[in-house]
Amino acid sequence: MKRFLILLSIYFSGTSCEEVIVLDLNTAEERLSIDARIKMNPENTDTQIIVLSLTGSFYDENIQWVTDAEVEILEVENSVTHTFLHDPMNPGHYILDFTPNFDVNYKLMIFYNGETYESSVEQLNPATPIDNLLQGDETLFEGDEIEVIVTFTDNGSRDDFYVLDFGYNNFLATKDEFYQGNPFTFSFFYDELETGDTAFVTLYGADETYFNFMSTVIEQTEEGGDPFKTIPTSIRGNIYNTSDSSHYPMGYFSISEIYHASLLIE
Amino acid sequence: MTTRYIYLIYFYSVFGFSQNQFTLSGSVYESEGQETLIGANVIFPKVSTGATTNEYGFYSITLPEGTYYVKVSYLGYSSISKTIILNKNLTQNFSLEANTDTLDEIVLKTDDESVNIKTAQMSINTLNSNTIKQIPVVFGEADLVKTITLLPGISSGGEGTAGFNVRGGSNDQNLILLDEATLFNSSHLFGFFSVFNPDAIKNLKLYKGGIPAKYGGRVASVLDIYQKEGNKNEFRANGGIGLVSSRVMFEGPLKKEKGSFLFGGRSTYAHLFLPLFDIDNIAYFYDINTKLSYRLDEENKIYLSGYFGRDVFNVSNSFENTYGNTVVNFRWNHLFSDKLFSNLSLIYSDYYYGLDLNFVGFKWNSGIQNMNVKFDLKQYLNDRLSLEYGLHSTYYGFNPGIIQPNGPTSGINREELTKKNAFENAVYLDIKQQVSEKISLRYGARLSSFLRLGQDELNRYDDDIPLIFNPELQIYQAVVPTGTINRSSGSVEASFINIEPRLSLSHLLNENSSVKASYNRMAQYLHLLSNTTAPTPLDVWAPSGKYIQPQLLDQIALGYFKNYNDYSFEIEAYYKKTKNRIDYIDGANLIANKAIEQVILNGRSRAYGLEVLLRKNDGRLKGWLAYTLSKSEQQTEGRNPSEIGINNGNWYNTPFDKTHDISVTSSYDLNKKWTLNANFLYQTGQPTTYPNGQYIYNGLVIPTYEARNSSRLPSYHRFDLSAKYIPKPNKTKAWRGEWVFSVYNIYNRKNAQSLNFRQNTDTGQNEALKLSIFGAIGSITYNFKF
Repeated sequence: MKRFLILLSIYFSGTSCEEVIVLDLNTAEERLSIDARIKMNPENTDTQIIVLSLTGSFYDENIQWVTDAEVEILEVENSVTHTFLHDPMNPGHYILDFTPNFDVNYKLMIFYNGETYESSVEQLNPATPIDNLLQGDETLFEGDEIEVIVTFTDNGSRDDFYVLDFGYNNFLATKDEFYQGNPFTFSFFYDELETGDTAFVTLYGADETYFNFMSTVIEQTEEGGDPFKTIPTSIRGNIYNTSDSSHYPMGYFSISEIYHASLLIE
Repeated sequence: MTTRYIYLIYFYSVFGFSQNQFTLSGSVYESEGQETLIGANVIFPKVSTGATTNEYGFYSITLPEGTYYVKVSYLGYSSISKTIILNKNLTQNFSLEANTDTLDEIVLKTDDESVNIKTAQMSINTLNSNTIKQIPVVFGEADLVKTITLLPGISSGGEGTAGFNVRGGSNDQNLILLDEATLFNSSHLFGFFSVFNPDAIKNLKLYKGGIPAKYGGRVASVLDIYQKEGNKNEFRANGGIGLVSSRVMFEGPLKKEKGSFLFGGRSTYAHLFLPLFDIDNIAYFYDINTKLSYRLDEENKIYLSGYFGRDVFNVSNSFENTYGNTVVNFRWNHLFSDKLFSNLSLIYSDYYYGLDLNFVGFKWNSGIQNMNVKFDLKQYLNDRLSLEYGLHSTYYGFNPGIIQPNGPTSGINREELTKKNAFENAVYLDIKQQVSEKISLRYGARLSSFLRLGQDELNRYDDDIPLIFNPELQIYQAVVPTGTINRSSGSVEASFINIEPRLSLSHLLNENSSVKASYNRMAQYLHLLSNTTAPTPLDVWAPSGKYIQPQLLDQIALGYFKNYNDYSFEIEAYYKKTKNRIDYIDGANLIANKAIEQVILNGRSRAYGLEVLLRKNDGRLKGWLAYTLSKSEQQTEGRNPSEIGINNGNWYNTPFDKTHDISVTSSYDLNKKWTLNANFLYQTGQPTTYPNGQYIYNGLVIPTYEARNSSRLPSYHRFDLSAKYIPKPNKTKAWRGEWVFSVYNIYNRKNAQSLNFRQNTDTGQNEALKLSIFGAIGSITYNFKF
């Protein structure tokens, strides 16, 4: 919703233009960056992948992968640990076949470079299946966008938060505040698709903290000029450094139930 | 013996018991249409005293019996003088003729500078409609808000930003009054246009400091605008046709010399050309100003004014946004005696905001309604002492929104966010006193109170704490309320009362120069919730209450004022500090937020600066140079030492802190047909937050950032030029037209409106993208009058 309001603001600035400029930027101290999105797909089992890297300077062209960390997920109540192994074919990627269960408390634990990182306690967040994807005729600003109409039915008995992945780094975070218990239909407009391509949409279950985190991530990485943006700050996730609290990591540890849907574009 | 003699003289001169005092009062009008003139001077040069007309054109002065030579003047009009024998109370009206070349004058109120040098009022700028029309602005349309940003101490957030900032204050801290009614929004289309039709405006005053006790409710400034009443003798029309927008205004008598009407409208129509480019989007605004005035008799005048404005955006039928102000007010001027003038205003205003998102099936309507009663009295005791006092009362209804499905297939549930109500009241007393030949004072106080009334669904929290600090993650998190309670709207949920002292003084150094000082305390009970870098139409007004404290500001200012021939010079220094400035936790989402208290923290702000204004008021070349050196910053510490607050509790620049702000504006009368105008502006770049790193998450490259607002955008500067051509300068009747050719930003500088940091989709590399709104824009407007 907000995304479109943001894009609007550039629209009628008649002679407006965007220009790339080169700035002399400072670089902050290096931090660990953790991408730990654990998925539970009821239709089949996925291999879980946790990606570790280091922050770089803004103009850095290469990613610094972390290949020598110890990564595990701890079940808090019974102290069972699930240890991830580094994949030598894919630097920075730690993998494990692991299926999380509902109502179990998990924590992510990482040991790297003499420091211990721990997440807050997380549970598997439920989602809901995507009812269908349909192609629409409407467009947005450019006139050549492809409209995909998404419908899913919210579970009326609980407060739900969802993150949708549309592919091509397009995301949307939404909560059921206004459509509690109803089938919710909305449109997403793709710039990147053309006739013959397939739109692939994934719905992730989230909690309020992850919803807030992803909302801010989406806002900060959105394309286009944005006078609506809030004053940007580095986004804190749910993982902290127990050895040195000021050397906190970036990123997030989330556990989501997921559902997929796809649509062939005509 | 000598001492007793001195006491006797003192006693005599103060009480003047051996002389009778009589009152001379009346109104000053413009002869052509009988429009009252605000701030006209009625001066008695031989006895160094005088009066100025109030907002309704009325003056009153009480002097000892005698024969006086009086001179009445007003910039843009020929002065008149008269000898008056004051041996009883006398009503004397004056009618001034406009100077024949009125259209060519740049007017920044300067008439009889000796009066301005003497008065205790400082930190004020007064403009007449003609000035506003001369300043070249983008799209060629005269714009009141853009004109005031050329004055010292006033800036705007940049192109495409609504509102304006006064002495480092935010946009919601400006009290905007149109014929005594408060407006909540001063701009259309993201600040590209103001809501004011320059043809309908008679006079405006902008107070940046030294704010008199009769004003309150906002802490930083007061923009007090009065509309014309309309020509009481003849039917007239005024208008302009431009490339992007047009306006027209009709005025005329209702009953000759007694009543008049004014009706004006303006709109943009650029959107009508969009279908030619195959673009299915619409953005336009329209405004309607109306006014009826009627003089019942010498003691009573009534006015009925209305304003209606709307902005509409429609993007491919997927998204429609409508918002605007509606104001209706009724006023009654009543003269209790020739020394006691009163005005009663009854005002209704409605600020509406509607959003229709077709692509999600969602419709949101919200707004603020208010009903306002003001009773203001002005008592002119004698030529050295006058009082202003009164009572203001406002009842607010805040409707944060009704969310509803926009059709039967929508999945949205209807929900009404709880209405909030409040009652704001004030009484004030303001005394203007000429203490001695050299010293004049203005002092008083305003006693204001705010009652936040009960409502449904008030959240209650453990220990009244709506947000907590998580020390492990070092972030603030909302607390789940323990429950909600309902309280009747007749009960009081929170109440606030503040006494706001106001004081200004002026000390005359000689006939042409003075020093002035002022102090004011202001209280503000309504807050515009906005955590974006610039105001947007999505910002919501919230009343003070259990979790939001009123803002309290203290300002001191000191200035030196001098006139020299055609020039006048002012230099002022100010220092302001404000308590209870709200700040937002990182990542706060304000849109349709039902529990704002869960995302805000209490902080403070301060601003200080030096303003210089040099004006040339007469001759073929007129204009002014304004320079401001200033700082505006805020701080939000944690609620206790273990919390980090915002930005680690350090001071940071507000989004509108601009170190240097230079504006030069000038007009040159080339000959009777041609006038040239030019503006030049330079401002330090706005504060912004630069990234200092990047990391990857979920396939996205996300920047990390430095301390808030610790860097700046590139400097802003531009040069505008315009030329006005009057084909038949000697015509004074029937159809008169003029052409205005203007170029905005003549050297096409792409001033940065914002900087966005993101990953280039093609190369995958990070880059800084500068967004600029206006390059050079030419425009032609045809203005007409008949």
